[in-house]
Amino acid sequence: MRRGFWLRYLGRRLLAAVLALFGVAVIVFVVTRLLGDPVELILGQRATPEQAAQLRAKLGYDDPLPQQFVRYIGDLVQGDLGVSNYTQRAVTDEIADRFPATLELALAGMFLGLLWTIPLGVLAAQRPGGWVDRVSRAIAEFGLAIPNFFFGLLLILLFAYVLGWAPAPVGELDIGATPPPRVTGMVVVDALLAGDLSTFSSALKYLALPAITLAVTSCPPILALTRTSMITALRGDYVRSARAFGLPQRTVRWYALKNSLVPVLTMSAMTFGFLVGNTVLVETVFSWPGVGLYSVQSMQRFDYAPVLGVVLLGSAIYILVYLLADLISMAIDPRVREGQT
Amino acid sequence: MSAEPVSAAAWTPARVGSRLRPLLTPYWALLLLFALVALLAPLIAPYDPIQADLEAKLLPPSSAHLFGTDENGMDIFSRVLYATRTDLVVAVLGVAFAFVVGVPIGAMCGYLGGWLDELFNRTSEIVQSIPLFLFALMIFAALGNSKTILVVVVAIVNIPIFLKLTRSVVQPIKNQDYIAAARLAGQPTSRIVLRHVLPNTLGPIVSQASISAAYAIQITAGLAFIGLGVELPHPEWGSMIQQGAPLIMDGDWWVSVFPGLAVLLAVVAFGGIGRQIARRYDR
Amino acid sequence: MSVAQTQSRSVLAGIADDPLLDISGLVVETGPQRAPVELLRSIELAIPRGARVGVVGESGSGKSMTASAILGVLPDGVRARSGTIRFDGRDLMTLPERELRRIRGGEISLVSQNAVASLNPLMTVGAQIAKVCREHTGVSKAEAWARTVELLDALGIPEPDVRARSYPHHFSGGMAQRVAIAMALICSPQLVIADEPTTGLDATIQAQVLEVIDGSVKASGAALLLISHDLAVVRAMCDIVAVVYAGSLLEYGPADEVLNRPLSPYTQGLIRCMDPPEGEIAFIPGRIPEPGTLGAGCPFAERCEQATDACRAQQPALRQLRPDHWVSCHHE
Repeated sequence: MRRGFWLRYLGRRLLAAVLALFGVAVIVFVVTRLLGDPVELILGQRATPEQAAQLRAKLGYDDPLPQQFVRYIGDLVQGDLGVSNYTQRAVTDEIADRFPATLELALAGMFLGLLWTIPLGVLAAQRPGGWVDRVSRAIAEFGLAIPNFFFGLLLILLFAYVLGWAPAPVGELDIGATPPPRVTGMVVVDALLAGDLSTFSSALKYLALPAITLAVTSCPPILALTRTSMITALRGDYVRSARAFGLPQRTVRWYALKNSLVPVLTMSAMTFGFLVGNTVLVETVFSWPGVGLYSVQSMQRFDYAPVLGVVLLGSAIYILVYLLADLISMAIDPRVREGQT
Repeated sequence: MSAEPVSAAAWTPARVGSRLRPLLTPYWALLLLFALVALLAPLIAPYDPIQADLEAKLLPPSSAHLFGTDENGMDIFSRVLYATRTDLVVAVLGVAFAFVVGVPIGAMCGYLGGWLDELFNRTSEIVQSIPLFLFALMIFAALGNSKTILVVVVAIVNIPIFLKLTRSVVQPIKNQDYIAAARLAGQPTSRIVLRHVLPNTLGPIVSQASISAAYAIQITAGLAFIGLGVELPHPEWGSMIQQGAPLIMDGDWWVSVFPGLAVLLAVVAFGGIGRQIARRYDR
Repeated sequence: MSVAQTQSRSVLAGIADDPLLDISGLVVETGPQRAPVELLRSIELAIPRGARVGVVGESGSGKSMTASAILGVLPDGVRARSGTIRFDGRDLMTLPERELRRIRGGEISLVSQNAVASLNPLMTVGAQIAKVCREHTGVSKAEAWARTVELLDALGIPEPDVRARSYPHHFSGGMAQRVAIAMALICSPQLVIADEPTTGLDATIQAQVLEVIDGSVKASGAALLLISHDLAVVRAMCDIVAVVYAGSLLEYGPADEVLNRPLSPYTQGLIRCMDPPEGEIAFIPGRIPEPGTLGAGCPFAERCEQATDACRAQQPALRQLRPDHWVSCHHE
């Protein structure tokens, strides 16, 4: 029964995810072809009327909308995101080149983020109102309020300019340095795989500041939620009961933590999904060669197909991550599992 | 939330006053400061914000130029003051628009349920699956680059938030007795929603409005940082930060730092007020 | 035994030689240090070995707080200010946390009111019970599991090895209570505290659960401290009855004595409520006072028909008016 149940549930959720992605594609279609002028999107505003008409005919924008839509979806399903006006390369290829950098940054940011928020949240919950609680809440408020790009600049000012500990924000590596052979596309990982320790440490130094920026400015909600969940869990009857049965403090704490995991996990997943799609500003500040920077550059070049491609990619990742979080919380909490049948 | 239901007729001055008084805190003072600056910028600013003076390029903060000057010799203090107008107006307008559209629709969805609810709910969820900044980029790409579009973006991004929030606070109320009484008395749905349902749900919604305004300021500054929404040399915090970004490694920190602090303080003010209102209604 | 030791024993300890548990002069308070609110006002209690003591009182009388104090698991902000809790020769109030942890669950265990809520929702019941077992006895996982299944079986849970792998929310009221009882008995404690074990259960299930407690406690030879606001439950299960009101002990003695020949007006009132004379609905007028609102006199004075000025002025001491039967009252 269990195997069948999981498969059915997985199937249902996958279908929901696909439908959501379809919805996103519809929105992109509506915004770009109905609200905007797609030809202008491609040619930019400097197009002459003749060029516009020519392109319109060539790309089939004269055709009735339903036909266009079907073609659009068909292209998407085959992975065709159009062509970059600037380089004439397929958008899919351009994005594939740059996506690992964004992924690397998002993973590092998430890792550092969880590293500071979850322990602080647990500690703060054990003594609400205590100094750990107040200090961590102040940090969280600050992290949320300060614009992430400004915080990045402040980090650069302090650590790169004043202290000289971090390198200038020129991207993933020194200008002119040779990157390691491309395996995953993530420079830190590839350097490690190639055994190139000097490139590895250099890449880490470049990764540090942007990752810290993301960790501090995007993860405060996890701190608040961990704290609240732990407080609720610690008040639970089963905690008092566990203590009444003489179980050691660390076991009691673990019981409480496990019970607060589900909402924390969901929020962490949402944060990660959010991170991947919202590295735009941080990548710009640090010249980080990911899809965020790419979409900004494309905007500046009036090259819009890549922007739309990144929109679809970002949405897909968000939806997927959300699905994963759901599945994991099902695995942890039997009550969630049974709510589904 | 108070135990007895409130209807629109009960918003007497005394009641409003007693609700407002406990809210006077540093956050409100900060907000008032920003509002005054926005209104009185032309009177307070020592220099013309877009007057270039190439003799006075990149001067550090001094008594003559409180916040220093930028690459064009423009006085940063004056520019920060004037930029308050731009950023605040865009944020407040955008959120107000989202409020006016999202709240009634959300209330209707929450109250009526059914296919209407499903439709708007699903659409909101899908819109919210699109990463915020990428969504903004897409709108700018499709509709052009101007301050109006900036306001539109801020609004669109916040409509789903207000919609879902209103819906979630209206749903538990719709089955309460005083609503049933109004329905039995034959009052039309729109009237029930406006006069009975909404006044009892305003607390969390107003709180959200303030918090959304805080994020709207961040978004506005962020979009301006990548060149969207405002054209130079029009003073705006985000574009000012962008101008100063390449100068950080040269040590000319003041060009970015002061506008950045302005954004930070504005966000803290709006956010603090929003949270304060939320706490009051959490009881 | 030294003089100091004898003096810290409860007067009630005279009910048996070397009682298993005796509480003397226990004061439990909450609130700020300067202006504390007393929840238990110098309460006394004694539990002979293998006996069944029922603690009876209205909601808010401090019965459950006593159980928490014995185990040392008072809620945050509540502290035991003075008194002694002597268990098997040791004063629990002065023991280090390490020792207390060994006693909790191992020698004194607790069956709470809402069984499902007191179990960790994310672990199977078998795993939780086995964990308690291993924590106190150090046996292997396999052995602990075997003992768990055996105990669940003895408590009347069908298909015990399957049910042990189920989660708490799968169990209904009566079955869940049996699980809670299993957890309390797995380490063969000397004292089992059952705090309102049948409240909230259907009448038929109540009888079953009481039977299970009865049988298992008898089989293990443990003493039972049964806390309940329901006089009928206490009457059915206990040999000794203690009547508690607003944090003080008002009457204590053999069940037969206290329930049939009550000395305290409060006990008399309670019994009347339970067994009203033909055609009457009996109640005790007034409400139990809030902690911190009591003066120096007898806590029941406000609601007592027989109250005099002396009653309101001074709290009566516990006097042994009949053999093994104590009462706190100014009247005879």
